Amino acid sequence: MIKIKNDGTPVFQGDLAIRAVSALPDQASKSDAQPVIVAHSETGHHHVVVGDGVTLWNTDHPLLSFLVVRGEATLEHQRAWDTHDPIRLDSGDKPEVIYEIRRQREHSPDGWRRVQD
Amino acid sequence: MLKKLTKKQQAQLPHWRDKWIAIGLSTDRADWDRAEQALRACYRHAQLDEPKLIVPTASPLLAVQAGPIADLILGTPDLRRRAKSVSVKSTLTREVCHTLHDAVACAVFGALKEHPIVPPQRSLLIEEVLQSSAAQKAFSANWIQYLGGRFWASWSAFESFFREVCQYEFPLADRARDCAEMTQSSCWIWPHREFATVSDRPCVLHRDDAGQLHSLDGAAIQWVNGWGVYAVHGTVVPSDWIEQKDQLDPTLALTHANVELRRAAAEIVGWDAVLAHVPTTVVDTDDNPQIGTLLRADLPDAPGSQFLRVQCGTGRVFVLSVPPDCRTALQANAWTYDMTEDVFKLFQART
Repeated sequence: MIKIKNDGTPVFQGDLAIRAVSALPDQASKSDAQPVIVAHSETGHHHVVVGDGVTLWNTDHPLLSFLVVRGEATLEHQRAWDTHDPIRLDSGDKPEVIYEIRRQREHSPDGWRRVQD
Repeated sequence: MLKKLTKKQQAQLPHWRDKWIAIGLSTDRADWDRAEQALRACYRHAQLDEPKLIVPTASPLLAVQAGPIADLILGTPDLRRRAKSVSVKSTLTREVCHTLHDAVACAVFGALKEHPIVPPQRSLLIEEVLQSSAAQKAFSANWIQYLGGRFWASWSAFESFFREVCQYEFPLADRARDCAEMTQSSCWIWPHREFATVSDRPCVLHRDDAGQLHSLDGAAIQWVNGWGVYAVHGTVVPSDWIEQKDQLDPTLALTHANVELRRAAAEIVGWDAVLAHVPTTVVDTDDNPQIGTLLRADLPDAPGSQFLRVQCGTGRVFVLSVPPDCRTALQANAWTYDMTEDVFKLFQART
């Protein structure tokens, strides 16, 4: 399992990027949905976060969300084959760490669209 | 109470695993008599009257079409009908079986969910009945109330090891025994309070080295009536992509809305055919295949389009559409995550 360093450099898990950031944006809104799915897949192979001290924050941008992690959590890819390795998120000696989640996009005639898989 | 396996019992584990994998992947015909006896026993275990009729069907599709339609014909009001189906399934599931899917079962489930009606492979009789909106509603609402049979073999493999190898007679073992019998002898089952439809096993089953459904020459899994699922390394594709692959448009390998299907199209027609059909030039190649190669292609309706051919963390290669003004693969890859190149290139890992 990969343990993410909380120094702001990104780790990629398939079509999403995750990195530690210093603060939540002002317009972020807390989601109470369970399980914490950070990236829905058209074919059901979601990327989910497993851990007790995790909250998901959404933004107006469809490809941008945030996680607040207190303690330990794991970002998992729910597919039985060609599975992307899990990523361990750990607030370490801090009360919490904020992670930015970016979904991958691609070019389209209208500008861009989210990568569908 | 069984607390620890003996060395002799542990030594049996590989054999038991292989035995049940073979059961799950068997392409032998269903053992109808054995399936019927086991299914009737399961109804009794669930405190239900035995079904008046058990109907063999050629494929899972027919089992889950015929069941809801027969239920409709029996004339029960809609809400009550649905409740009955649900209660029978949930009772059987709770009392007798647990649901553990494998990749094959998931692919068949996914294919039915996405493309439940696949003419002309469905039966002509059901074709006629399905003309009515009531039958279509009944099918759409209730087909999912099935039991997986041999595709749910993992639970029976687990519990039968203790029962048969360890000779451990746990409470409810008789229920588990009949459930295992049902699992071994047939495929999907659609149980109803009055009757049950039971599907035959597939007659064709092809997988790749990773165990995923895969065939470039025909259906990856198919039943005797011709219904089947077409798949490329586990990705379900339209049947005509395989059956008429000489007519598959190579540009789909670059332009299909879904990147997994894009990858499947590239494998079916081959990259040489894609590049021969769509004149492509290499704009930039990064040393790191996970950053990729930037390609420029003159598509018939979009000259000057650019694509990033890139390897993901699982080792598979995908093609992504990127803006025409990208100059390097690094710039294009960073753009797909809306990051600056400086942040992107510091990435710790790609899984």
